[in-house]
Amino acid sequence: MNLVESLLHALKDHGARQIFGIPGDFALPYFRIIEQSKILPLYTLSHEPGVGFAADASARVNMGLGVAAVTYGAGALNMVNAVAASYAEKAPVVVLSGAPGKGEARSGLLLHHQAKTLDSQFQMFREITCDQVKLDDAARAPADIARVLAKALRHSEPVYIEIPRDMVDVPCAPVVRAAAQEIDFGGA
Amino acid sequence: MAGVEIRRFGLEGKVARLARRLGLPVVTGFMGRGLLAGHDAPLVGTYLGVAGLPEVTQLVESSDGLFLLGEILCDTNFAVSATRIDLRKTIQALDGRVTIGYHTYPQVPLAALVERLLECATEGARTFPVRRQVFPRGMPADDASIAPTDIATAVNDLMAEHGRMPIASDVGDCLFTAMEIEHTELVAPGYYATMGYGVPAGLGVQAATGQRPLILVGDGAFQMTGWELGNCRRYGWDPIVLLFNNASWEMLRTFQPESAFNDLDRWGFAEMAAGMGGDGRRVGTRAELKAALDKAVAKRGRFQLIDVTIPRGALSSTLQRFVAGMKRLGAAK
Ligand SMILES: Cc1ncc(C[n+]2csc(CCOP(=O)(O)OP(=O)(O)O)c2C)c(N)n1
Ligand SMILES: [Mg+2]
Repeated sequence: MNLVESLLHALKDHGARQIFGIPGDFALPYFRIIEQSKILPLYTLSHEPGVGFAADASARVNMGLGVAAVTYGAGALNMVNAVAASYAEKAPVVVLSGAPGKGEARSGLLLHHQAKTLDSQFQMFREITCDQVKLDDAARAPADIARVLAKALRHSEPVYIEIPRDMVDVPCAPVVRAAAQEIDFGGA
Repeated sequence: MAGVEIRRFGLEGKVARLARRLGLPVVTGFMGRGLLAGHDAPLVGTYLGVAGLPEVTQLVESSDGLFLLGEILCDTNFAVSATRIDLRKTIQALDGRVTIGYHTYPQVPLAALVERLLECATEGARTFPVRRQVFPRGMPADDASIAPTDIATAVNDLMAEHGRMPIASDVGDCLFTAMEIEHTELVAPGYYATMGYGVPAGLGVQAATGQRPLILVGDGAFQMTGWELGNCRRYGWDPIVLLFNNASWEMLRTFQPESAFNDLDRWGFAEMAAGMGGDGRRVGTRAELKAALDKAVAKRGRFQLIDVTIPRGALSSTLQRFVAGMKRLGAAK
């Protein structure tokens, strides 16, 4: 299993039923795996605000995770308002964004779709999601994905998952769901 | 007052049972409209403060123990109150904690709280008799022009005949109009209030549930994201879209009538539908509205866009009450 397949199985296992999205060059590799693996159906739309709103509505009606898949920069930043809406109104939307590969980040050149630093997008989404992860380490990815998806469901708020494009085919273990939290009502 | 979290955490059935056991009346806020639609709860209606039905407003504002269960404490839910609900006298369960007066009990997830309350609340003899809210029915199919409340009435007639449909609504007068439609599942950005939500959200509803949705959207909002309807044909989605076309940013006009920029051009949305793989009809009278809705329901497999011509300045009853109430509140300050 590669990293994206592991992620897709985890999304399904946590209650996601479909993915809405618009690809771009940084996202094409993981979109290829979404389409070919058929783990979850993919619906592409025309403009990223629509992707975010459709994913939000699917989360609300299904009472589970909605998934909005976009490309780096122009795609993801086009969706900021929709994700802010999901955050404000507590819809658990999982934002998947493509990103430059780990190697590309070291070229010394500014990369297209880069706003300020390569991390600007991550910082912006930190403000409107309850947890974030960049999947740049396949060994850590299953635990990170489990944590982020569990938080989306526990808080019913959006989360952000960034996928560097050179990571998609890296072998990866399956995600094991995080255990439910114990609740203590005191002496009752 | 039941809020969106009871839906997000799948607790509607349990909350309905809890309310029945305790014999407590239930309302939702503006944001929570549509909650408990499919459940047998003593649901009195939607709390809209100065914009709402007086009996509902009175019940909420005179309560000595308002229990806010999963309700977002936002202005669209609460700033509409003339008497200002004192939140210190409420019990709030939200964001995984419970607050009573000045005490906060952290790390109490809503699901666990409701479960525990159900264990504690025994089946009692108390009941709260609820007078169900009456929604307008029987739109005259005549030659009069169409006001937003006519659309609510026509939708109520339609759902009585053909069954309930889930609704996705944008912001604008269409969302106030939705408050006049029978309780049915509703997704709408009632708090964050972003335009552009309605059409793509309707597509999300159909993709996620397979049910045919009704989409309520204003012309200004449709200009933002209406194009997404062009994706329906590929995926076999066939929403019915009621486009409130008043050639206006009418909500903004109610706040600031002197501004000419609120006059929009009247776009020919009906004609655009065919090129996007759907069917479009423009209607200007109540008879035409009724005929177009009947045709739309009968036709499956293509999106159905009804471009409803509404005169500028014609507001839904709910928005009229809201505007009048806000003016009263403003004058009192
Ligand atoms: C994305 C976004 N931009 C701007 C606004 C401010 N705004 C609130 S209502 C409104 C006008 C809405 O017009 P329309 O969709 O035609 O509905 P109407 O008010 O005419 O019923 C605007 C511009 C907003 N809520 N969301
Ligand atoms: Mg308008």
